Amino acid sequence: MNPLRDWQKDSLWAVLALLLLLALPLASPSRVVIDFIIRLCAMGLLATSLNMLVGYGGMVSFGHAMFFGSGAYVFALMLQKASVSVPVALLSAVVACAVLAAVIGAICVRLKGIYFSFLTLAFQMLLHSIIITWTSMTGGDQGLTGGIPRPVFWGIDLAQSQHMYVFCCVMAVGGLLAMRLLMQSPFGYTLRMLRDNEDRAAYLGVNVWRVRLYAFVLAGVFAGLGGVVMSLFVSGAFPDFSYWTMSGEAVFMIMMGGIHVFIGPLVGAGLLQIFNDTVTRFTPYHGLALGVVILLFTLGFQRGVTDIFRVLRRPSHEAPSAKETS
Amino acid sequence: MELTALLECLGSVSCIVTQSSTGLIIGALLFLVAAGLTLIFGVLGVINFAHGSFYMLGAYVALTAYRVTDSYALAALAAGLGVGAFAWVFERFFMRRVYQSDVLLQLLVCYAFILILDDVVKIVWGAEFQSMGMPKSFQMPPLFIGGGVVPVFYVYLMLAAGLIALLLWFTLTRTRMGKIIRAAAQNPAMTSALGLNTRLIYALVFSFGGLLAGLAGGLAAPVRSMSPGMGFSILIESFIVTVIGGMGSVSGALLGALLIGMIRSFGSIGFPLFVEGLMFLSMVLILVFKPSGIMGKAQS
Amino acid sequence: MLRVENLHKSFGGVHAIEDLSIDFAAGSLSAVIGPNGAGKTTFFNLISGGLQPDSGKILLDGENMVGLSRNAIVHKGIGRAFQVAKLFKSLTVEESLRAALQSALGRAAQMHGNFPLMATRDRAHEVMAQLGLAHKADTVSGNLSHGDQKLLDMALALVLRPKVLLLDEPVAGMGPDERTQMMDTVQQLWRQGGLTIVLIEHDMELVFRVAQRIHVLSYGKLLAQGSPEDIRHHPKVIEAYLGKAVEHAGD
Repeated sequence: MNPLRDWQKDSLWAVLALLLLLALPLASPSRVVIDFIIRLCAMGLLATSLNMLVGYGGMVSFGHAMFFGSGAYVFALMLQKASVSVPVALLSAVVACAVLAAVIGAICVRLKGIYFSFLTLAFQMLLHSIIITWTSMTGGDQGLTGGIPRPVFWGIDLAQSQHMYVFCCVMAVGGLLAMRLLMQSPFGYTLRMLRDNEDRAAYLGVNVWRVRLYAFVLAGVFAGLGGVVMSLFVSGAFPDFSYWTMSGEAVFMIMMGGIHVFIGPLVGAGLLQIFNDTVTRFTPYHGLALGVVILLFTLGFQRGVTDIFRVLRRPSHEAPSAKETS
Repeated sequence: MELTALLECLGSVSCIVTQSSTGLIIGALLFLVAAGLTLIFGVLGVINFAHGSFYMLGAYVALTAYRVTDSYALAALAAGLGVGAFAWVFERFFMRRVYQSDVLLQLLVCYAFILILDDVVKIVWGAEFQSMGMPKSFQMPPLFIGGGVVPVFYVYLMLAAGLIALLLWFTLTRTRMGKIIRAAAQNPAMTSALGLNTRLIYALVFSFGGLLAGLAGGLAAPVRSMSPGMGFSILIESFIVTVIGGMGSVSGALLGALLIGMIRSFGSIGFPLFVEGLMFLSMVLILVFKPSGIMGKAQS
Repeated sequence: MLRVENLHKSFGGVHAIEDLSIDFAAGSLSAVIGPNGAGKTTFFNLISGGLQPDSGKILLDGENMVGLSRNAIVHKGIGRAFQVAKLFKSLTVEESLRAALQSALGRAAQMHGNFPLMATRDRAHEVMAQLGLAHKADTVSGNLSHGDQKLLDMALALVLRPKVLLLDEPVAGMGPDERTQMMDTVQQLWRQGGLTIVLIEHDMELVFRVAQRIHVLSYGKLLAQGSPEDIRHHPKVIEAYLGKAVEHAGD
C-alpha cells in the first residue's frame, strides 16, 4: 500500500478535528463552550496567520491585527450597508484584505528587522485612526453597532447558533488546513530559507522581496478570515480589532504556544483564552496575573508550550518528506 | 477636517503663539521621554517597550510626593529618582536576561511589566482619573504674548526641559562619562575589551533613561490627568519621535519631539479626530523614505 | 568565460577596487590572493551582485552582469560559497539543497504540492555524493561540524549547476587533514569539467599546489598574475607580502 502523502495526512487530521468539533456540542451543549470555540476559531486564525510571518518567515509584524480588523469591518459593512449575501460579503472581505496587504506589504517588506516591525505597527495604527475618524462609515470609536443582517444562503442560517457554530468551525479548520498546506509546500520552504538566511537565499536565486510579499498577503488574507469569524461572533466590528492590543495578544499566543510547530499558535490561543476566562472570574487584576505568567514563560521557560514538547521528543531518522519539523 | 479653522489660526499671531506654546511643551515632555528611549536603544540595542510605564510611574510618584510634601519641585525630583531606581532594578533582574534573545522575547518581558504595573497602579492609587492640580506657586494669571495665551507653567516646563537637554548634551559630548557611553553605543565589544565595565554602563544608561521618563511624568503631572494605562499613548508617541528622529540620536529625539508637538498642537485644530493618524502618517513617511530617521545615518 | 574590465569601487574615498581587469578562462581553476584588505572579498561581492561597481564591466560569457540583482546573476550562472558558511540552520542538508534547487526550477513560489519536489531529488543526491555529504543528508545544518558546514556551503553554490564557482576561503578554519581533503574535493570537481573555479585563499601551500593561474591583489589593484611559478618569483609579490612563504611554498 502506498504511504499517504503529507498533504493527504494533513487533510485527514483536519477532517478528524472538524468532526470532533462538530460532535462537541452534542456531548456538552453549554453555551460557554460554544462561545469559547468560536472565539478560538477567530483568534486561532489570527495567531496562525501571524506565525506564517513570524515563525516561518522571520518577519516580525507588530501590526498584523490591521487585517483582522479590515476583514471584520469589510464583512460587516457589506452585510449592513450593501445588503449582499454572506458569501459575497466573505469574498469582499478576503479580496479587501488581499489588496490592502499587497499595497502595505509592497512598502513594508522592503525593510528589515525592527524597521519592518515599526512600519507595520505604524500602518496598523494609521488604519485604526482612519476607522475612528470615519464615523459615518465605521461608527467611529463605538464601532459598527446595530447587528449585522445574516441572510440565509445555501440553506445555512447564521442567525441560528448551530449553523453559526458549524460555519465558524469549517472556516477555521479550512483556513488552518490551507495555511498548513502552504507551509509544507515548496513556497513554505523558500520562506524558511528566507527566515534562516535571507542573504544566502538571494545568492541562490530567490527573489526575496517577492516571496516576502506573497507571504505577507497570504497572512493578511487568513487574518481577515479570522476577522470575519469575530465579526459574526460580536455581530459587528470594533476599532479594537485593529488596535495594537490585538496584535500584541496574537504575539503572546504564538510565543506561548510555540512558534516552531504549526499548531503552536492555536494552542497558545486556546491557553490564553482559558487563562483570560478563568482569571477574570477570580480577580479584576487579570493584567497582573497574565503579566506574571508571561514572565514565567519568557524568563523561565524561554520557549512556548509546544516547543518544550518538541525538544523532549527524540528526533527520528525519517525521510525529509515525512518530517514534522518546521 | 477643519482646514478653514487651521488656516485662520495660522493667519493670527495670537493663535500661533498659543498653539506654539502648547506644541513646545508637548514637544518638551516628549523629548524627555524619547531621549531616554533613544539612549537605551543606542547604547544597549534594546527597545524598552516598558518606557511608557516609567512615565506613568513618575506621574503617580509625583502625585503622592506632592500630597505629602506640598512641593512641586520635590515631587518632580522624587518622580525622577524613584523611577530611575526602579529602572535600575528592572534592568538588573529582568532586561539583562533577555539582551541576547529575540526581540519578541524582549517585547514580551516589557509587555508583562506594562500589564503588572498597570494593575499595581490600579491597586495602590485606584483606577479613576486623578490629577495633581496646578501647584500654588504657578497659580497665577497667564502671560499674554502677542495676544496669545501662555500659562506661566508652560514657560517653566520649557525652561526645565531646555535645561535638561543642555545638561544631556553637555554630558554626552563634553564629559568622559558621556564619551564612554557613546563609545559603548558604537562598539560594545571594544569598550569591554578596554576594561570598561559595560554591565555598569548599561545599568546606568537604562536607569538614566528611566529617570528621564519618570521626570517627564512628574513634570507633566500638573497639566495632565493620570490613569492606569496612560503609559501606552506616551510610549507610542515616543516611538514615533524616536523613529522620526533616528534611533539612538538624542538630537534627533529633540527634533522629532518638537515636530510631533507642533503636529499635535496645530493638528488638533485642523484635523481634530485624526491627530493620531497624522502622527502615524509621519512615521510611515519617514520609514518609507529615510528609515534611519532625520538624524540617523543612511543605511546602505 | 568570466572577465572583469576596468572595475572600480570606492567606499567614501577609499578605493577598495581600482581599475581591475582580469580574465578567467573557461574551465580554469584560478586563485585570487593578496594581503588582508586587498579587496578580494569585495571583488567577489562585485561579481556576484552583492555590491554594484562604480564603473567597469563584469562579463559572463560576453554578457554584462553589472546592474543585475544577486538572484538574477545566480540564474545567469555564477555560484558563490562563503568564507563563513551561510546555511539554513534549521533545514537538513538534503532539505537545504532541494530547497535551493527549487529556485533554479522556477518553482520557489509554488504553493501546491508538498516539499520536497521529486524533480529536485536527483541533482541533490548527485551533489551530496560528489562532496561526500550523502551520509549526512538528514542532519540539520546547524548541527554539522565546521568542515561539513563548509562542504554544504559549497554544495549549495554547486547544486544550481553554475558556470562559474566562486569559493571564498574554502579551507578557512580547518585543520591540516580537512584542508587536504577539501582541496582534493575542489580539484576533483574541477577535473570533472564544465566548471570555471575562482578561489580566494590564504593558505599559500594549497593555492600553489592547486591553482592553474594566480592573480595577486594589493590595495584593490592587480599586482601580478600568472602561473604559480611566475608568481613565486615575482619581485613585486614577494615584496608586497609573501616574503619567504612564497619561495618555499610548493616545495
